[in-house]
Amino acid sequence: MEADQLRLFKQITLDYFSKLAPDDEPALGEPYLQFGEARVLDYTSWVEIRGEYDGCLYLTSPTPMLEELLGINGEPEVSERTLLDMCRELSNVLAGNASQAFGGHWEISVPHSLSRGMVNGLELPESTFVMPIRWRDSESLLVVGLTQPSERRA
Amino acid sequence: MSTGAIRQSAVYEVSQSLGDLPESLRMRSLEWGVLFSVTGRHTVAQIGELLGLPKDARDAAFGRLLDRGLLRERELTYSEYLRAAATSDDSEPKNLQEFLRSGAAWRRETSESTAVVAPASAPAEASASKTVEQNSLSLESEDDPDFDPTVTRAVPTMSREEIMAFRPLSSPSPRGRKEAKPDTEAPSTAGPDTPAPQVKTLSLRALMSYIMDRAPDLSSGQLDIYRVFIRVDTDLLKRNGITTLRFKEDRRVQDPELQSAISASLKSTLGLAFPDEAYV
Repeated sequence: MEADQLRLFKQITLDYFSKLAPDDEPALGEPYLQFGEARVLDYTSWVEIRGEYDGCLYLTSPTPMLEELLGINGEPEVSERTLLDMCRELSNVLAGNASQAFGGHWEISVPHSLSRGMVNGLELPESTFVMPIRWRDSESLLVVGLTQPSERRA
Repeated sequence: MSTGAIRQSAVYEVSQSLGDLPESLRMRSLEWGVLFSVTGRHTVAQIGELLGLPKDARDAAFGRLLDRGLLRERELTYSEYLRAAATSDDSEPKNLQEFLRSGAAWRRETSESTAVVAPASAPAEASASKTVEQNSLSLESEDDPDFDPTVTRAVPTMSREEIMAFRPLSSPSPRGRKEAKPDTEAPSTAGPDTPAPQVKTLSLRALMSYIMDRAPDLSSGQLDIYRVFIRVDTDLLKRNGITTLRFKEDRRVQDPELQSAISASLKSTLGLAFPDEAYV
């Protein structure tokens, strides 16, 4: 993974929020590394990647963030169903962004949309690079999780 | 909690063999770290310095260990106390004469609480043997015909390594109740178990700065740091209390196993070795 690719991935994800509400620019928080249990919020849009390393990219968001997105998209109903629909929309955006940023050298899986309980069943990388995205008083986390090359499955 | 009673110049010893500790005993990693660092020969100030602990955290940890009955304070001889006091910011009230004699007079009043300065007659390069001499510096210095305790001198500051090489107090008996030998006999007690091991402390902030400085930009540097840590066992990191790491945050690592794992990953991932400045 190259820094330029990561930068592009980050930027086009931020652009998604900017285009939704030009008056509410998203702010990128200070990134950090997380070890052990990966950080997961209420809804997670997730793709697997395979290349120099194996791993995943995901955007995990709290319910209020998805509620805001539903409102902007003109969806008056807030329910588990519509929230998961919004999560699927984000998953498609995430997969598209990942293909744009990392395409060529990386295989990218179809996107997955997961509520918190569904994520608990996944085996997430133990070391992750977390980039907080603050928007409209909520904070989503854009996460890169890579595994050691030696852990790669045959 | 006994934090109010923790004195920086106090020397503690473990009150029971670590092997006899009940299996049910649970403590925070900081408290275990302090417990394993207690030798019966080093002051509270020295152990705090060794572990890179802020004063409050250090005192709180000692307080909790005392509350649990895991530590007891060693009684010191006069000469031991003078050496112990020279390692700390002892706020015990003293008159000028006592202050000048205690050894604390040679410490400069700066934010570096453990910065110990040598007498003007001491060479700037302090070898281990010279450090030993400096530990009883004020009393010896008074024999110098040029010594004037009322004169403030511009003298070199000891490095951190020199501070950590401060000659420990002589070893107590296994359970610490035998009175320590007089200071003059101290060299004869320098058996194989006397010198405290020199533990190098790795500053993760310094290490990350080093990696960042070599990267073309901030994102590349952060990604390089992430690559290095991908190869480090997360259990080892967690064992050292590291579950998150911000790129400007400092964490001090003393665990040789973790240092070794980070070093190996740094080498295999970026082809770099620990720079000297990564150690504090």
